[in-house]
Amino acid sequence: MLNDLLTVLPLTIVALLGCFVLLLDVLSGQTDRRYLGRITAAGFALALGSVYLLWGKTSLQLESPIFGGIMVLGRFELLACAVLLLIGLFVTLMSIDWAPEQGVSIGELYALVCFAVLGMMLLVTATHMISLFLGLEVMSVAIYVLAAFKRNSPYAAEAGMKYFVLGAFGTGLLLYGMAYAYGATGKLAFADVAQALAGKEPTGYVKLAVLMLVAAFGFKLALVPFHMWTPDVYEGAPAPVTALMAAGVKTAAVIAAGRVFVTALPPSALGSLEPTVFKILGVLAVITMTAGNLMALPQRNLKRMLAYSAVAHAGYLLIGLMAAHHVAGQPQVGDVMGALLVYLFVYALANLAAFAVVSLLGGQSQEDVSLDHLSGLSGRHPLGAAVLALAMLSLAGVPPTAGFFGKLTLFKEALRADEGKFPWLVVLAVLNSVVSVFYYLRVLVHTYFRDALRPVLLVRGTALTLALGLLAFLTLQVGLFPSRWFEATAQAARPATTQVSTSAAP
Amino acid sequence: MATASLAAIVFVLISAVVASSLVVAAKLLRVRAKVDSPLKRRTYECGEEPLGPTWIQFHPRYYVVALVFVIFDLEAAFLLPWSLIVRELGMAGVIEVAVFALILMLGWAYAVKKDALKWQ
Repeated sequence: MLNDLLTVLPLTIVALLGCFVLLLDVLSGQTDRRYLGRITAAGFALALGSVYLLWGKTSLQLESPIFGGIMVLGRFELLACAVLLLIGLFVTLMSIDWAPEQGVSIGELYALVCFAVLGMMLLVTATHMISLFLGLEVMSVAIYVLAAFKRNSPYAAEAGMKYFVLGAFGTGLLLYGMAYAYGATGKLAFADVAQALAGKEPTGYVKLAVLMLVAAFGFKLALVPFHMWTPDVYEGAPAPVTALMAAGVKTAAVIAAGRVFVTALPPSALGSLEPTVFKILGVLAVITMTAGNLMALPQRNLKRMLAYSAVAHAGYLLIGLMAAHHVAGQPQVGDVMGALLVYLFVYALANLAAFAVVSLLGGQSQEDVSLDHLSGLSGRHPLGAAVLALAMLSLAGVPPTAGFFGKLTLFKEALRADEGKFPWLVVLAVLNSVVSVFYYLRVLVHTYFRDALRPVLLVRGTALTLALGLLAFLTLQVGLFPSRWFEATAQAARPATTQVSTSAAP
Repeated sequence: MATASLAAIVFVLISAVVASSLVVAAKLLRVRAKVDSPLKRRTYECGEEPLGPTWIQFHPRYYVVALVFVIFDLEAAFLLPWSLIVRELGMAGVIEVAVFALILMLGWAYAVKKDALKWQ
């Protein structure tokens, strides 16, 4: 018990941080809330430190399930938590100077970011349907509020409303799927569900459960028939919140979906249903990346363009998820999950960098960020322009940046998973990446080769500059010295996902 | 396998039939006023004469009070079953519930400090 409490230290720190910031704001009564942002950033750094401490503690038996088997916080999960905490840290840093400029200097902003990150960490550590649902709700409720955070803006209200209605619908589907899985097996822990289903012919309940779970994760990941909310929500929500959605929610949802389709519904549990599921996921991946890239081409608004790019990247990630699902139960699954985490990390870095630049352009309540606003940025804010350039090159997957190695490892692992089934998917993904280069590079053309068309009000502040600098450094560091990062994730992922542990929980 | 699929299909069919038949029944069985009168177009308020238009803004304080109520509602919902097995759980159970209540009280303290309970 005490061991379990010690193991969840990073989550405890973030939970306490959220409560502390919330109460500190109402008790102190200060109107300048930048100090709250600094405290939150320090808290996230502290939580990152606790992850580092736990990493070295072998005495804690990290890989074994904790709290009666509802969650696990092994090395892979610790790395995922570290990525999420980094995302929280950067979102906080870019909010500090941005919030007063936008007239939303509200203390609850930082508390809600803490609670959203807490939910994401619960989501990536969950090994039980109930803890998965709990994490998803803690994360989603905080983000529904954050999306509509700029109360006087009709765009933000629209974003909040759309995200809430479709998010609640997706959650409903997930619950329905879980209920059918429980009905079919009488179990809720992922490993027990797989064990109960193994070797049996899938019943109608199992089919419905798989269908509902695929659709529910489709909503959360913005796969193509379920992506309708993405552009409007990304465009309307405040820039730091969109960063949290694009980087954090995607990371948490992909890891959670991976866990469900590797430990609860591996191919051995699906039996004769497996070829159909594989076909459905394959078709989803292809239309997601193709439609995402094609719809991103005509976008003139940077946030909408990044929204469609998020849809396209969800398609690439789905290939990784399919590969993980395909090799579930073999030692290789650790490599695939590691590659997914690496991809999510470099994708999060690039998105955070892009939205940090969008925050930078948010001076004096300005919300609209079209390509014209970017014109001449290289002259007015060289660091911002450079970071945006790095982010775009990383998203496109151009070698000196992190994005190239993210794509390389993901596609390599997908090909290694099964050489008969995956090549056509990977070929389509690579062709899609080529298409995406056009709209990513167009941003660079506007930033560097066009003269300023209109006055753009920039947010100035040390925290934002620090965030920009750190993001640029990390993108280059991962891009230039990738092997250390990749080996760490692969090693971390190996024991976590291969061991099949049954638990005491129902 | 077949029975499980069948049960699920029957469940979906029954819910679809019930939902659509309610709509159709309401269409068929409704009482129709023969002539149009101002009374027919008036807002129905349980037989009372309506006072003013219905498109008015409600003060959010009702909503805020309802939210604060949820804090205590949740506390009661979890404390009652806990009180039945408190002896078996021992000290660990007491500490867990104390932490749970403390977290809820933090929410309550926040609401009070935000003047959510001031009715003005």
